[in-house]
Amino acid sequence: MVQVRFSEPTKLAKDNVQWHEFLSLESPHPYGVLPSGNALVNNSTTTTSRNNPKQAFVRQLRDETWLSILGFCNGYSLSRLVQSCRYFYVAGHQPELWRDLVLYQLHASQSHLSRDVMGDSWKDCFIRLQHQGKQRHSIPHKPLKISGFYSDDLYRLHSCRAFCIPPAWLEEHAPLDNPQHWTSKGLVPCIAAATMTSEKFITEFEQPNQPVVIKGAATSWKACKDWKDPQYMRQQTQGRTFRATSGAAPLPANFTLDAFQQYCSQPILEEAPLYLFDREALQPHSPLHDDFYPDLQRTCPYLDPAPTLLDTDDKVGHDLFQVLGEGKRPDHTWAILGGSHSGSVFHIDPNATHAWNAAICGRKRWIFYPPSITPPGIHPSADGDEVALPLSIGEWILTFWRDHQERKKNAPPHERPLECTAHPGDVVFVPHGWWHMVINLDQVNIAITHNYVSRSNLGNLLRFLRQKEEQISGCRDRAESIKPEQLHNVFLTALQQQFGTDAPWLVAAQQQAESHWTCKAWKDDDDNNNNNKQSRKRPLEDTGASGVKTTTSVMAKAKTSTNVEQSTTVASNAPFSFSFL
Amino acid sequence: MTSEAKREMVLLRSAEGSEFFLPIEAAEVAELVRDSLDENEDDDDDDQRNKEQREVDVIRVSCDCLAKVVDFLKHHDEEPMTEIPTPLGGNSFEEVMPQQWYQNFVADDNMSQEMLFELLTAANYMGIKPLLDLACLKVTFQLNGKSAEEIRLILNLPELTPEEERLAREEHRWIFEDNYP
Repeated sequence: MVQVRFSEPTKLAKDNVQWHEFLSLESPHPYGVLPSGNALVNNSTTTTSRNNPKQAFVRQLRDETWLSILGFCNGYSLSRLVQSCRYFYVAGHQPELWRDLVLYQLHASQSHLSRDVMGDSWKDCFIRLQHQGKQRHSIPHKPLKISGFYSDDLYRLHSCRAFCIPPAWLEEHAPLDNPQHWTSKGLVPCIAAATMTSEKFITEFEQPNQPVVIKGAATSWKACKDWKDPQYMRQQTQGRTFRATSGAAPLPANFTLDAFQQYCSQPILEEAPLYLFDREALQPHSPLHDDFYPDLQRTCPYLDPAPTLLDTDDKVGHDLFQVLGEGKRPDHTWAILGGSHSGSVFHIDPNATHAWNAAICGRKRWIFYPPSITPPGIHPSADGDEVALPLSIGEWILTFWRDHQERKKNAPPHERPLECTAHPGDVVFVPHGWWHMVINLDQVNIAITHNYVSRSNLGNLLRFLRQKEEQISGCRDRAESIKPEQLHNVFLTALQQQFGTDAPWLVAAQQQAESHWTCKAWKDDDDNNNNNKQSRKRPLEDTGASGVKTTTSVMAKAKTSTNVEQSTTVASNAPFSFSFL
Repeated sequence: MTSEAKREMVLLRSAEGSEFFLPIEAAEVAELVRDSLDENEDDDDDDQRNKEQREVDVIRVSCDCLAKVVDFLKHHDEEPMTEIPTPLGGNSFEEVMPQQWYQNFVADDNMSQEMLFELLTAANYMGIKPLLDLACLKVTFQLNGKSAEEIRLILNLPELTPEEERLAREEHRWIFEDNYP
């Protein structure tokens, strides 16, 4: 049991994590890869250096290109390749390659992963899948450290997977009532749950559209006590499979819970690890629903989506989508389970909704950017339909952390990013339109998240439903849900029926919806916004985020990137690139 | 189909200075060409942009290789290459890439191992995704189904030490236990 330590309030230091802290890796490369600069220092003429004539031929191609080729190979070819030489032993054991082979096979056979198949690595998993139903024993894969292997690309891949979690991210701070104390240090305000009232929540955070961490709001929830126990979770979810996804995986996969727990226990997961993002697990009649909902009503009434609250006092922040009824409204409540370093890259939540996210198990790091302030490295198309983000969390940190630090220091105060760590029991409020990135810090991280619309964002939501219909998500792949093209009208009609067409706040919201946005996250379509637009794609249902498309898999990068500066003339020997990481 | 009227051409120059002409639309499949031409368009010095003088120096690709790249681009303009799906959905190169011309383009008779690798590097440098995919696919099938020893021959690789070999074979014993194509 981790003892809760609070830092002294007066010593709330400015968050100042330096880039190099991510690089003191938690573990060395499992196959012994080192950055290329080390070759000079080690004075080696080894079999894998580019100057070795036998290797020169193979090393003419960039690592990314070889990974592209390996990505086309089937499992048998790949297994043979890894035996053929050191280079392929290392390159061919990239976990992403084997993960994809498993995912394709599962998809083709329409099956799921159970614990006995999910071994200690994706490669083991693939082999066990081949052996299913036969009497075969396989030797688990044990990475051999190859000496004298130098490759910047492969080393960087490893850094992206296994970057160090800075100690500052793991600290816990005592809640302070004055938000200014926090934002001046680049941190999301952290308010004690006991001092949070409905009025305070709505007037200080929900209406002004500001994020906040409600400290300890969920500590007394039954979920926080019971979900830590893997045995309990398996019992409650017996026989069920959960859908796992990630920005980098070419396909989703279904896991039993213990298979997924097995997956999370691997020492290093692949870049952009899979995480469970399941919309069924917390439905009103599910076993897990009672572990949190009654407690939520008791501790955070201002977040309670109950239909019974719709008719009460003006000040109560309630979930207006409830007027549509369960099942008809877009997806709204998810259980999220992820391993270490999993999470989601920058996105804005779908449908212009607010959200809250309760950390049940494990800590999460949040990075927020205000609406319309695009985080470094992100390129949304002009109409917000698509966001090009060809990076994983690790890659974003390694590439853009210094830019991020710079913004924390130098951007105008209202444009600065804010960060925080949610500890188990904390509930984070994510205001609509805010960019956010979430990183799971512990080995097993479980959270509950809920998206909703209240009076504070109703106007924008209505405008979104009408103007950004192609970006609406959470309702396309369920039979009973109201379809995007009807959602605006059906929702508005239902509200009018419930509250009367004259309800002042409803009328005001409608008027605002027809005339302008009150949140800068969205803009009206321009005429000349076609430069960045590809063919309009449906939003990804699995991430629940609007239009975010990540192409972070090594193979995808290898196929889509053209790194002009680093390629070489074939005629001459490739020069070393200098890096002394 | 493009009419017989004059299409805008662009000149690509190899590392040694050899010049190749091809229609702009064909060349612009290459990101390198697109980016170079975009830059030139912003050039304010040129009030009268002489369209026949569009040139791109492809300084890192040799003459022989660039010749093949240009062949590819020209043909691609007339017959676009089908996209290669993942997973591949076929057991042989011909199954995955049914288009005859593209099969011939990288056929063993027409292209040496060295040239294939040059082409891969060039495709990467110039940002020509279909060519990159095609060449990757070819290498994949060259290696497909071969033993470790055969792979070493194709790619001219150094051998493992006896100890490394033994460990690797033991771990991968399972693939020798089954008979498979």
